Amino acid sequence: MLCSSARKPRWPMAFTACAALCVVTACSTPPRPANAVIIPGPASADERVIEDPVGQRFVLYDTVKKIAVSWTNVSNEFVYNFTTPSDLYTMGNSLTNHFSIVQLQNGRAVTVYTLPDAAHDAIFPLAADGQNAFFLLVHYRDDGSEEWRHIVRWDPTTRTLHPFVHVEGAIEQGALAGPTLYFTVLRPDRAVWLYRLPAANLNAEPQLVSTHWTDDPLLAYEGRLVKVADHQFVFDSIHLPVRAVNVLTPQGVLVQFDDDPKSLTTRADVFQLSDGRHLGSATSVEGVEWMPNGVQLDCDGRVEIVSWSYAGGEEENPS
Amino acid sequence: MRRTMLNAISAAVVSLAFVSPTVAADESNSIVTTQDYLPHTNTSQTLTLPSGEGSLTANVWRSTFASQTGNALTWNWQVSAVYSGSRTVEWIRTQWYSQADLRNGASITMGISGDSATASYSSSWQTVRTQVKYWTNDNGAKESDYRGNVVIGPQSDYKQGSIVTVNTATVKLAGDPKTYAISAGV
Repeated sequence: MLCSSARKPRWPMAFTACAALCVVTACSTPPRPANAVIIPGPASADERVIEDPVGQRFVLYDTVKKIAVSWTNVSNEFVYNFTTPSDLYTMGNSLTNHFSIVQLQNGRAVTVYTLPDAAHDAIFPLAADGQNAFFLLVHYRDDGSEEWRHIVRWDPTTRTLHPFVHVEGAIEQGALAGPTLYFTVLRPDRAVWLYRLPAANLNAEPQLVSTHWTDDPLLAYEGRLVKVADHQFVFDSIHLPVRAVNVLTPQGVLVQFDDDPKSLTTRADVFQLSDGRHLGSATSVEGVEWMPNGVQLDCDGRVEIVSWSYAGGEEENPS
Repeated sequence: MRRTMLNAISAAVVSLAFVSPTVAADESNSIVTTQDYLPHTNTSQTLTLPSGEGSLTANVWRSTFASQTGNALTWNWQVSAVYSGSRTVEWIRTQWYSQADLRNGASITMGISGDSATASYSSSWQTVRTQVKYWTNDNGAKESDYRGNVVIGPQSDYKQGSIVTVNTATVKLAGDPKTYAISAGV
């Protein structure tokens, strides 16, 4: 049973004890554990830490020279992002774990939460809407095999994680549609099941929505999930191809990242989902910075800014 | 990207034998095709994935000797990322660069648009690295590969034996939230 009240998550009990550790670590500067992830720090006011969503790394970008000067380039250290604009990321090592939640603030990466069981736990962004953030917490055995997955809600005030009591199974993706949290679960027969539950209720029982869902990206806009068919996002009469990385803003602006087959660099494209308008693009993208109503694409040799109005649609594009 | 650039690359890298056809440049700047054995340097690094998910291998191959055309030196190179295992591959990527010790404004390119790098106009040796480029397959293929020529010029401002080519293989498997990588260099 993938979503069951019969099997209680083990993590919440461990969490109580670990919460004290969290408070302690938040108030002091603990020694960096062995194998901890190293994030590049700006050496001057010209340098900012940005995220490379395709390379899954943080990049130190010189805003004057407009070049990337360094990266988080330790093997198997990767950065994971939400499918909505957020300054929260998770980062960890695929072999040794040591995951943490990292916030990009004014061009700097700040670790806001380190998992108490660094060797056995990993955490990945699941769903966020600007006010709320939910993560996928995965616990591994000593041999590296998975023991369980849970969805946890991030409390930014206390910097703590709170699990949904009745959610477990091979949870894969999530999306917030208004007050509802949707998530997919991969079944042993490779089928994908879609569930939903009220995002505010940690004790809620998940409701099964579909036993024939897909592993396509799970995005939500205007309180409903965006349909995906034949590897294309379908919104009313608009069809837009699914790319490697797809981020949907609350204004319905789809920001996509993928390989550019000509330059063999990262290409970004920005679309208005409601009418399919192409708002902007760039190649040689080294990383991205989210703005209140826009996105800054830090490229090799230039910076492209694509802005949109609060209601959606292009506002200005200096580039 | 949803196609395999080179289906035969891995076989070529593993066999270490004949590369067919091989493109080389002769002294008169004309391009010729040869079936001859091409001496090369190669290496592979394999990462065993946790929990019996299989393994990921980074292969990199570069011809041992450069052909000289005028003032330029040219090597052939090939890179690949190969996943071995039963899991479904969401995407697999091969990512490469080369570097060499250069001086006096000499340059290096791996033949991809915008990847060239140039030493400053100084008589002292500098390690100069091409831009990192990559190729991703997200069509379920278990392999991603690429090949080309690396060109350095002028030959007199290249420190013999200093060229290095590095390939990083990265894979994302369906059902596993983690991404895995391994690098190899020659």
